Amino acid sequence: MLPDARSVGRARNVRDDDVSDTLKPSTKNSLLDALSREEYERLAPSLEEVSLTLSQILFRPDDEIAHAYFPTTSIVSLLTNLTDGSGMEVGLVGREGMVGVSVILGGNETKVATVQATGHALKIRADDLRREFNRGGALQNGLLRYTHALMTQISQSVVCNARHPLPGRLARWLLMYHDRLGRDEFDLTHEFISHMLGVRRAGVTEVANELQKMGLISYQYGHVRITNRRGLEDFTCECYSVVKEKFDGFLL
Amino acid sequence: MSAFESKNERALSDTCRVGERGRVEAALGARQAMSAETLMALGRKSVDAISLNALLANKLLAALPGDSFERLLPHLEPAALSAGEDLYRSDRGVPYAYFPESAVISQLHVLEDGNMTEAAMIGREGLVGLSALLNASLPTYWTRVLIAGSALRIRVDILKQEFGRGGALQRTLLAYVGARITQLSQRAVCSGRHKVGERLCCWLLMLHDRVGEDQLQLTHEIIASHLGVRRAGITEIANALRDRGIIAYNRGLIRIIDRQRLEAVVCECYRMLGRSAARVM
Repeated sequence: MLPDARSVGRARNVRDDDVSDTLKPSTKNSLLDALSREEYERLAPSLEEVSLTLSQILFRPDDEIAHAYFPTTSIVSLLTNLTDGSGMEVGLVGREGMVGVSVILGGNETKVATVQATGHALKIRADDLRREFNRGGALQNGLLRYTHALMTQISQSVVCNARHPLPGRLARWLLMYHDRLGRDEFDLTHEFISHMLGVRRAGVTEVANELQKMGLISYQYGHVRITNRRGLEDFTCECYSVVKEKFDGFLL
Repeated sequence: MSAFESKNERALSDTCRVGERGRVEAALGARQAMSAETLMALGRKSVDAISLNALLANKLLAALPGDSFERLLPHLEPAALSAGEDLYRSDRGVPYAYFPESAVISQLHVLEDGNMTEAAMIGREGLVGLSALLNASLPTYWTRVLIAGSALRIRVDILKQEFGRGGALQRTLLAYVGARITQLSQRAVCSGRHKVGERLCCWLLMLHDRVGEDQLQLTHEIIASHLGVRRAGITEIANALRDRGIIAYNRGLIRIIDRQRLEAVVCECYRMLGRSAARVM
């Protein structure tokens, strides 16, 4: 349920651990939670809680985006597609961020946004988001900083894809995913992993097996379980921590 | 000074003397790049300030409406950048943003083992210093001059203040952020999926677009480090391109001889990258 700022004052429909009388409710999205009470109350009527389902496409290249999404429990993957139909994941957006930064940057999208983990998000109309952004307050500041963190995530993939072996890269994506999902078991299809790594679906099992043999994960029939998070952190390429640092403050 | 620039300067000094709006517009119509110093000298003489900036080499500044540009003009200073120079150091923060003119600047990611890869190339279509503009902490990458040349620089606090006013400057710079994200995303998939030969052709074309000259001062070593591959691989491909008469090189100079054939062998990423740059321009 979408937290209603007005109901908080009356302490109605809100769990005790979420708020006190003086605090605003947690939306479970870091960008929204960083807003002042006044800013949140102005924005709240424009936010609509929606369920996002696996593989749902939120936008495609050249779409002029009508809505942006603040994921709360869902994860959305940003893919750059090539004309032969092969794509590659360049970014991941969960409760730390917003899907659809092109709404504030202007212009059309060049990426595909696909739901990678079923869950909820708060949806907002592009116009409503722009209006609050243009006031120049905490939402603008948060979205600008978030945009730079997202740029760092994407640009680190340029060097990572050019330089690092596949198993370390898979470990990196799994850690990024784990950070955003906050649970050890999740479904991740061969197709998504093939996008993460830029390899054919047939090659996915081999890479996943390497992590499995080291006892870091178990992977069967598209179901992942992180069995040794510390081990994954030791094994992954350095790109994980370089980018993670940029999301400190967003990924709580 | 190139023939273009001297021609422009003549056109503009005529304009200043006569002060005819129509003639400035004629000069604007020509859309030829002129040197920043000339423009700024003219600007400071407070010429009828209709979009003189449209003649600037940097496309972001050129795209600004006259009144937005006028506010920046007193704060812009020319900077000569030398190849290999690092624009920012971790102990000094990001004091200036740079609008490149003839200079080309690389965003380089350096790994623990000392190897590096370029994630973005910024020339006269863009701006360097986005981390500060976007209120982010110090960047994790290096910002290094790839091709020596000129740029206009501005103190970051002043640019942020103007950016904070909203309006055309903010819209133009945010659109550029979008174009940069497109470059990064395309290069992420390119470095993951495409062969070194295609990536080299793409990189040379991007550089050629930004420098605007056929002769590029580059060693195989630099190319290899920017593409994140071994030097031997670059030499092999460069030899093949030379044998086919597409490029020539000696002693740290590469000359683009047949651009059309480079375009014919490049991966699709070049078209996408060109599109995103054009969107800003």
